[in-house]
Amino acid sequence: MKKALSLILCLVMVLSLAACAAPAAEETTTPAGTGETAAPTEEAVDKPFEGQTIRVILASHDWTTAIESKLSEFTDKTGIKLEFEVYPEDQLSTKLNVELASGGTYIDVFMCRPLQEVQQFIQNGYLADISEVRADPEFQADDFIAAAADSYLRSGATDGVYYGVPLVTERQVLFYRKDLLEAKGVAVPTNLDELMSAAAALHDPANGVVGFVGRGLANAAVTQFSAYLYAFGGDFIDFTNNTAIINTPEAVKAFTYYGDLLRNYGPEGVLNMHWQQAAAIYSTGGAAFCTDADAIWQSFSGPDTDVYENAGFAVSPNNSTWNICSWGLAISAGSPNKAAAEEFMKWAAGVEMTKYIQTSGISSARNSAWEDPACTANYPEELLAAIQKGNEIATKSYDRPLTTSVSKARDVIGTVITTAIEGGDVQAAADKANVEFQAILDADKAAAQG
Amino acid sequence: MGKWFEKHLRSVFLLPCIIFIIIMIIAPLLYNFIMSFTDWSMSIVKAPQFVGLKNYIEVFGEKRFTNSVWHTIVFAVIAITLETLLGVALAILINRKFHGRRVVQALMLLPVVATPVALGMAWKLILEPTIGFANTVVKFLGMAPQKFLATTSFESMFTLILIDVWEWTPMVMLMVYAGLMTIPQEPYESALVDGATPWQTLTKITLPLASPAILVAVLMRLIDVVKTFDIIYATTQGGPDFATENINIYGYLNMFSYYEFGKAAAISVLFFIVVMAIGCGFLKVKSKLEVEY
Repeated sequence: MKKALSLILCLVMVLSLAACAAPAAEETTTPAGTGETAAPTEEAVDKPFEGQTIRVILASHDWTTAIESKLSEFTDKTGIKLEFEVYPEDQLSTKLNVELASGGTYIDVFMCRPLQEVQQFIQNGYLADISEVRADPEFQADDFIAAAADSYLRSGATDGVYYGVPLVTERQVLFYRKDLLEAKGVAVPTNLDELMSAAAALHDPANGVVGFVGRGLANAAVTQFSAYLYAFGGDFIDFTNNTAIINTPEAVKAFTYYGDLLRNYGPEGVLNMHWQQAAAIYSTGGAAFCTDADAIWQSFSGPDTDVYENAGFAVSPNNSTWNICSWGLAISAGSPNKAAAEEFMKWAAGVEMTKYIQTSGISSARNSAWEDPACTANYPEELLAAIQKGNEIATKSYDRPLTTSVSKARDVIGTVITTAIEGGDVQAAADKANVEFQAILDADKAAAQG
Repeated sequence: MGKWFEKHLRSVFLLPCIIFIIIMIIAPLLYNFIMSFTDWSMSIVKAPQFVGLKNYIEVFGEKRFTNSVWHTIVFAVIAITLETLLGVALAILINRKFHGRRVVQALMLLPVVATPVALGMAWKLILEPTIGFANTVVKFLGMAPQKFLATTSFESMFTLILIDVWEWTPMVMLMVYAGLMTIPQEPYESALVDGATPWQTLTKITLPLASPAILVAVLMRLIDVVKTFDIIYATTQGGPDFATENINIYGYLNMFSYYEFGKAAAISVLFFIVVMAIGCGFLKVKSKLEVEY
């Protein structure tokens, strides 16, 4: 009995160790970061990086899904082997922090979010200067939407050094159910008053349909709430003097409006709702309206959802949409394989690959892809119109506070959203949050200067 | 060499373990302790700055920290009370012979062996107020739908406690059951001869003799409960409005979301002291309460 128990324990230990040691790589023969180079042969002249291996860490995103099947083509073309890992966005962020803070020598290329973490990454010295990539005429860096490309510049700096390239852009759109609107003779809302009354008219929880669904989870809701904030003429920061302005009359009106909309015409439990939960309700026919990023339209009303046949899209009410770069690629400053990593960046964010990826419905950051009808053929007509109008009219290239400590600031602003949804004293919550937000802005400014 | 080896055999065999503990436990603890006196945003171009007790002062001055301490205490007290009561009751029940006992034992252990984060995700879906299974059942029974995890009231914390109770009561049961199996039959036979009632047998024999096992179970759960992370992270991430944020989640966010390494280290040090104090205090209590027979 004892022997059997010992044997089982040993087996469990060995299996645990084996599990810990198992590489997550999909295709690799040499360890990442070693930069092993094969002996020069005739083939090596065509493929100067033959035998090198780079470690690429990507987010669990539609862009990744689209490029995954093409990765072997990159290896065939360049000879560079890829050690390829995919993580959900929160885990990706944590993983990048840990690896990059320890020098980032075992990581070469990775996806990151310009508005969420890139400024902190630049400040921490994690990211490599990618000027050489942009300088390659074949890469056509000028083809990028300027605001998206510029989100990889150091905030406030004038050195013109880029620390990454944009991949995916987003605008907020209004998702609506054509069948429900038609049944009640409600027109597609173009401003916030119309949205509120349309949501009220279509709110019918007894029959399983709420008027409106959107993000209610404090931190996550900030990006979608921002369009409402802009619609009321508010903003997060007064950039002229680095002042927090989330308790102004405009901001308080916006918080109150968003809170009222979700509290009165939203689903139960909206306070714990990220976009996944909102999409689950909308895509199964549980809501008449929703506002969220166009990049994830397939989750809300794509071909696999129950509402695809009746999916309507419009630009955000009051034309208050933003146009942001949500994801991009960067190279680790500590990467021992920079040249190979740059090669991957040129390939993955190049014109050809961008057009290919946009064809599958992922909004890119290249003008040429938007101008090419073949690349937008798979978008629903209304969605494409809303996106193109968004590209045209959006004046803000951020959907969250533009500062270094973004997550902390979002947590603070999120408390006001929670108060608004619960029907509490919005002005008091906004005043309190404004003080905390100002402290964050001051600390960020001091850190950037010191 | 051979003689030296024989003379120091005990030390030689212990050495790998000691080295392992130094590298894997003591060194990180010391590093964490040192970092708690610094200000560092995990930068590789700017070294940590020594700031003395600033992080500790800042942490104690934050309402979010005091709230997270309170949440940790409330979570621990309620969860452990429920788990102990239910665990002991189930252990006594399972200690009796009945048909299919082994199957019941195996089934009850399923939540313990499942991955906590996966369980958290599953519970999040079940408890989703609009389309979740739980409210479907609640409505079917004619009751008002609940918000479960989607409220800033105590309901969200209590829901998390219930998930913890569901997951870990079988573990308490198993440990108490192991203790019950070591109780000899003689005291029960004597009690039977003396005409003791079942309640007297339970309170005068079973519980006192099983108390060492119960205490060990409580101690282990106590240390585990104050460290709870996975279930909260997978379901609410400390929200809504920090209503379910415990010390662990607060420390994690400071480290990985706010890039405040020094402050997160200070929170960890305070947390370590609390956990150590609980552990030492409980061991002392345990040694006093142990019953000889």
